[in-house]
Amino acid sequence: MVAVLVSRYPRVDTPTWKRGLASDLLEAGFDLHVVYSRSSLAAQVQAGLAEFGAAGAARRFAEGRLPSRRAPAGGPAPAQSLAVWAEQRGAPVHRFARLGDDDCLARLSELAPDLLVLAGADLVPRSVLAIPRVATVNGHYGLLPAYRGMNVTEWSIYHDDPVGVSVHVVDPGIDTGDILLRRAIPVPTGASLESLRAKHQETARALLAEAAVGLRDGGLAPTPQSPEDGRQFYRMHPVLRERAEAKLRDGTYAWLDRDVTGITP
Amino acid sequence: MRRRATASNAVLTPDHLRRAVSLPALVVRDAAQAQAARRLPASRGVRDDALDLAVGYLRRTHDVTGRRGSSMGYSLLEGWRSAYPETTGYVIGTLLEYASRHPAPDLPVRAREMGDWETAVQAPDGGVTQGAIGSTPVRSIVFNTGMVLHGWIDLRDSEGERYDDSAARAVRFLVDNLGPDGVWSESVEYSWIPHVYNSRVAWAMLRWADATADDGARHAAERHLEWVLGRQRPNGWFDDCVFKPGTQPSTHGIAYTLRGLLESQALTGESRYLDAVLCTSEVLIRKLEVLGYLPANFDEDWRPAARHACLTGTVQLGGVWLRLFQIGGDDRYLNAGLKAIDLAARRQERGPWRATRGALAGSFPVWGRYAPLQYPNWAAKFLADALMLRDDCLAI
Repeated sequence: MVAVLVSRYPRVDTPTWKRGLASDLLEAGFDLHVVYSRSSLAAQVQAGLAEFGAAGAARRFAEGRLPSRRAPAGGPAPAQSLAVWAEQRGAPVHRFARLGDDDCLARLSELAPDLLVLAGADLVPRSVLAIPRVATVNGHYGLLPAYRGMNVTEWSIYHDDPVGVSVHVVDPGIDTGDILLRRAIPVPTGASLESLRAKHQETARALLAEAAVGLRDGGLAPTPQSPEDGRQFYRMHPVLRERAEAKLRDGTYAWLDRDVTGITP
Repeated sequence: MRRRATASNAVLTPDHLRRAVSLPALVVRDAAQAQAARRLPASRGVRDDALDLAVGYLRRTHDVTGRRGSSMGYSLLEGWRSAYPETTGYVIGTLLEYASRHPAPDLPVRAREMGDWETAVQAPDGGVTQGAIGSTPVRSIVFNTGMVLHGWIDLRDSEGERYDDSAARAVRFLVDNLGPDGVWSESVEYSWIPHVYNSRVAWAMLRWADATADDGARHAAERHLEWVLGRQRPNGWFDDCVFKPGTQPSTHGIAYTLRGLLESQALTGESRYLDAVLCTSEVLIRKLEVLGYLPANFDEDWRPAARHACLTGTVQLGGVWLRLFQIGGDDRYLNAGLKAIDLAARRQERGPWRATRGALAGSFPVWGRYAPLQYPNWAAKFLADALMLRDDCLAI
């Protein structure tokens, strides 16, 4: 079964969870490919500067390109881009400017994937969504259907709602496709938005792999959602983000240290 | 030092020299920032003294007219412009609101001086003329009359019935010129075309009706608002939202329309006014998120029709969204409002040049088509209004 991991910015695509997800899919027996958008150097430099600043972008470029030289003996694994990692393991990596471009569509059609698995990808055009035989799936850092859109971990904390990850089928809407899996994440005292982000990534990795296997083997029951079941959120303003962070810091977040096992099946 | 605005500047003054130096410097500055910093800022765009600076600019617009009306604003080409009845009308409320929050004993005095000046320039038909004082043609216009009506009503709390005769004459002008279809006569419309942004006029009439039990004013306002609702398309677009024929609606005009509808809902409880505001706001907030800023103009399919931003419209929309948050409690509107206000506030002039300190340019970049190379008094007014709303919303 052919699974295509879809991501962007191949030179700076270093999050550990993505390599973990690719590893999980390979171990599960998928014929794995990686497709990148925004592959031009200019696009990546622009994105890197915007996200990390000049020094941070330079460091990440170096890490993504030269992992072996930076690996300290006995130390933690160095940051390495998914692109380099995948190529070292024989998984083909395909680079394009944009997902909807003709060359990208042609290559994806040739690959005839059963699954597209989104791993921090751009918005996926309809022409791409039409290609996989089974589905396109995404890991969303929020509990659907209530929280759609961006920064929903922050928004959930701001509203004193539980946080978690949902894996869903991607449709043309924003996080409106059928829900495949959900998992609430416990929030311990001392947690920060940064530490929660890492938990979400690892949870998304596990759920995406589980969903891929479930869709391949059967046994996953998609749950439809309707737009009125939730609200779409946008990137949170820094003032509100500070307030969400403060709720974690001062211990006023309602779901701090609570058992969340009953929230999601 | 106080200096009255004059129509001609025949003698070379220090202000001429300052403008000659500043104009190219501002153009270079904005050109440099246009690409790098047009989008949403990563951090807060509002500094602690932003409100004080904006109100300081409004004070200067009053000083330069000899404390009659508020100057239309400062032009990098012409210097201080003449007093502008329309915007002086709604500046009154801003000054009074600021004075209710901060020690500023001069502001109620200034507001009364402006109210008196508006009475002095009111036309015999009860209306208020278009344009700045001294400009032609002299013609009573619905929108300008409504904005001054707001000012006279704002002054009722502190001045009692001092302006009621003027206000009542203005209301009669508005009621008498409104047709049975809710559209004002072309003869009293700017550019001789109907405008949905007259919802702000209807809001003023509803305020007057509430204050004086004038049912004629209320019914006329509601008739006009019905017409406004009928001009909205399912995609949130408003027909007849332009200032002049052959142009695309600006965020300034759209925000006028939305605020008029929203405040009319707050006064009447009519939910359809609110629904209309939500419908258009949803589209504009999405545009703000996707584009990272709000272009000054859009076409009927909400495609950007300009590269520059109308800073007044941006900050006005921020105010509309903060009011939506206040009314409905949905903090997604607080989020959008804060972002829009950031985008405008970060363009507030903060340099040592006294003439423009605290002001907001018409456009970003400063040469954009909306009030090019100018610092309108209404831009500072809407910035100050939005900043006070921001304080209220963040205190919740």
